[in-house]
Amino acid sequence: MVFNSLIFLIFLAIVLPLYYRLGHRGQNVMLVVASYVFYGWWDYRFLALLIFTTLFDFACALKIDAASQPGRRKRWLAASIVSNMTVLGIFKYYNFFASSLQTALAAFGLHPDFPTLHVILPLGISFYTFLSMSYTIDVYRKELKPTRHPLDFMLYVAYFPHLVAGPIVRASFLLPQCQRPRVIQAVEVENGLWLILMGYVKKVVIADRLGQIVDWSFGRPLPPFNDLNAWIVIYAFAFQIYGDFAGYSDIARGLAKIMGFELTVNFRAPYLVTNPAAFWRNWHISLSTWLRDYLYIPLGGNRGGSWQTYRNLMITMLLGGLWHGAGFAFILWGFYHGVLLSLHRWWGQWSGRAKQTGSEGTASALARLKQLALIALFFQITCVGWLFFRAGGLPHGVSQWPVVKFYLHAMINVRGTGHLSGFLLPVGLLGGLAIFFQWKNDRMNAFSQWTASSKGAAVSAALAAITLLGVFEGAQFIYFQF
Amino acid sequence: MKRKRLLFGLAVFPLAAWALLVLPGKPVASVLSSALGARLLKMGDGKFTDPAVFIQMRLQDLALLASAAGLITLACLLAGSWLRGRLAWRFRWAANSLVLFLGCNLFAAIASHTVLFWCLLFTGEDNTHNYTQYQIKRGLMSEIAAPRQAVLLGSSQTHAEIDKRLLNARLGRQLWTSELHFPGSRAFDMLLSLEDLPRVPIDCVVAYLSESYFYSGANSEGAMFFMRFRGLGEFYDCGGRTVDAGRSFWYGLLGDVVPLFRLREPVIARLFGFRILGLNQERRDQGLSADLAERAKTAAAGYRLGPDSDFQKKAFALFARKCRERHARLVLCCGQLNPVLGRALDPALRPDMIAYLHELASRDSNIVLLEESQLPVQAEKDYKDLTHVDEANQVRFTEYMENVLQKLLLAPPAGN
Repeated sequence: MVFNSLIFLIFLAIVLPLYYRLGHRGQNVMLVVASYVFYGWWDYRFLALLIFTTLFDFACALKIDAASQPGRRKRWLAASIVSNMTVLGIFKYYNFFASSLQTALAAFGLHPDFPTLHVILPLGISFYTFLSMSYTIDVYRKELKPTRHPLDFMLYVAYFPHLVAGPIVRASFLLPQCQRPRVIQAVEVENGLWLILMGYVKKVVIADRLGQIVDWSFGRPLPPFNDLNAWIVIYAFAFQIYGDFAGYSDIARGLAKIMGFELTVNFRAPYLVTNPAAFWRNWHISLSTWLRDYLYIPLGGNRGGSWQTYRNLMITMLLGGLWHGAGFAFILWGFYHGVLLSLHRWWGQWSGRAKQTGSEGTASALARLKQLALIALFFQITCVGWLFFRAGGLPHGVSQWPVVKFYLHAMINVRGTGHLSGFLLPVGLLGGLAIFFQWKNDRMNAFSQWTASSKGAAVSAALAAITLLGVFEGAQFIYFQF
Repeated sequence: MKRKRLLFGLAVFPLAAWALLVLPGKPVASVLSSALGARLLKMGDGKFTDPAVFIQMRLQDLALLASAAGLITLACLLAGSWLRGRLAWRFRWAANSLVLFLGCNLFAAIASHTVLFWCLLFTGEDNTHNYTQYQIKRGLMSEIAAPRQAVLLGSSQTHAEIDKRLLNARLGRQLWTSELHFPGSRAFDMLLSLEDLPRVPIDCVVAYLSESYFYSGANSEGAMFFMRFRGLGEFYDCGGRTVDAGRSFWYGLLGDVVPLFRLREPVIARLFGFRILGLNQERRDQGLSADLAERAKTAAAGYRLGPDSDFQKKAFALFARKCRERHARLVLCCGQLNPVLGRALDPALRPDMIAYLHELASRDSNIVLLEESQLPVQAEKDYKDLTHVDEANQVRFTEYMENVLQKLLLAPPAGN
């Protein structure tokens, strides 16, 4: 079930009135059932996997908490991590690693025949395994007391607004909300409704409309262009993926708010920053903080020397790339961001400006101009990364490297605008709208503080934009595949 | 006081608009037409003949749009205040939003009845959405000075076979032809578009028919623009319950309630360029085989006898009846597809279509059925693709149609 489908609206029309009528325990039972229906609508067979992961981690956390010896605690944590990684490994990475190993061994004249698993990737598997795993790690670190109620934990993992595409909410943040009665406040309902509407604008107006250009360009034999058009297509993808994922996160947060929950903010203004560190503080925040807390810092973070920090950054980003998908292009994307972060860190240390965040307001007009130029420049750098990312989403059987090479070549050899130049207008207008949402991000998140007439104008404009410009073909969210 | 002045201003605004734009309309139009007439005629591409009348009517459209904008704003302000008083303080914005959105839709509904609005969405013959072109031509029908009018209805095949410019250049003084085809139309769409035509006297409705009207399913692009709730009765009378009319049908009904929704494709074409709407089709086309025979085989798989064809036939019979009721002679060309596709179709289809049309024509004297044998012969080489003939054959067919229409002009009017 996707948020932008008729069946989801019907689902919501049943779930919400029921939710408002029930007491706290009843609400939790109903939400767990509703969340499983939401997930099972896509393929009920994978519900078993979701329930297994949930219950196993629930049990592991209890065992960790009950164990007094550090060795036993560690063993139960290892069991949790191994089980989650096994699930991910089988369903997401096995075929990729088997075929990669086969290719590598072939170079040495060895031709082993690894079996191929014919399994489809369960929806949102990377999200819920990370979510569930972070719980056992937090319990192990004694940062969180485990819950004794399996239902609360099931709700924490499966809560339908965040289940398939995040945000990856920490147990310490969401679990207490599952455990205590929730208070539904008018101000939060108001903010939630606006977030839902804004999320739909981002998804069906910006992402899905630009997606038509991107899919057209990537879904055909390589076109004969060597000019600005490659950039236009990549810009289209940059705004598409922002609209798609930030839109999903907004809808998820909005839905949670109208039910009295709070989910973490996942996006701020990622295209209005001047460096990679700031980008990751604004883009998919729940994943970047997860990687920071559960991977980068345990690896040593920046506590060792410079080289150790660069190594940790590279490992974290490579695994971050791999988290998105089992493919060469996603690893390349992670590697690219690892290099960017390392270079930025090196530059900061070298120039003595390590603490500059890149998004603070500056006083003089010249400094502002410089900042704008840096934002524009860093956006181009981000877009090169998006090329790798988009290539990672090519259908099975389509070789990713020739596509990356072709687009990179076209993006470097800028000449004219050629026959695709007609797309400049939609990319410019919808990209402008995406930038506007980022520029006014704080204001967009404080809807309840607007004047009644501003609210009225904004809501009717959003409704008109969805009605007039939206794509209603129930396009999947890009991040569902992760 | 300020609010009262605003409300008063909005109330008298329509009067001012009519006084400024409509009363002096004729002299203003004649001045503008002497300066811009030639350019306008060129841009109009045969859609109208008198630039002065065209300008005068557009000034009326402008007055109507301005009045509608003023009155709707006034209504929104009043309805907003009334609704706000009945809602909790925190949710008063919901009243504002609702009223504004309804106001926008009301304005869209009114605006879509004016040619001026559609002219604003026009960006050239090849770069404008079909519905925009259709609405402009439809709107201009009531401004035609010719004594009699004909309408070309149907799919892109009608458009490819008959050149309305050529027809109007030769017959225009006696009989003006408006070409109101809609790509992908089927028999049911023709019924819907006939209902959509303005209530002006139409002497003749011409359609070039082929198997695609009856046997290629029940869903079509046209329903999205022409389906209305008032047409539901006819849809079910034709057996609509037994067919899958597809997403377009439901979009049509939604567009009937939310007029902005009906305008989405024309607006997107204007805002982002027409091409963006066809990208999915372009991708599909790229996957098609270069071999026409292979493509014909794939296309032919979608043609079949069954509940869909029964539905289309019933709809077409109803269409023929409505033409008679409007006193419009119905000229049906018993046409064909590219013989490559024709051969790939189920051999039972063509005899079934011909028998159906004969039976229909035998029951209704208002129908002029032009038999396959009477029509100019069209061979494989005359086609650009599986359905559309090339320009030379278009001219040949148009000349043939000119003769047919000339004979009809001498005949007594329909319905007698």
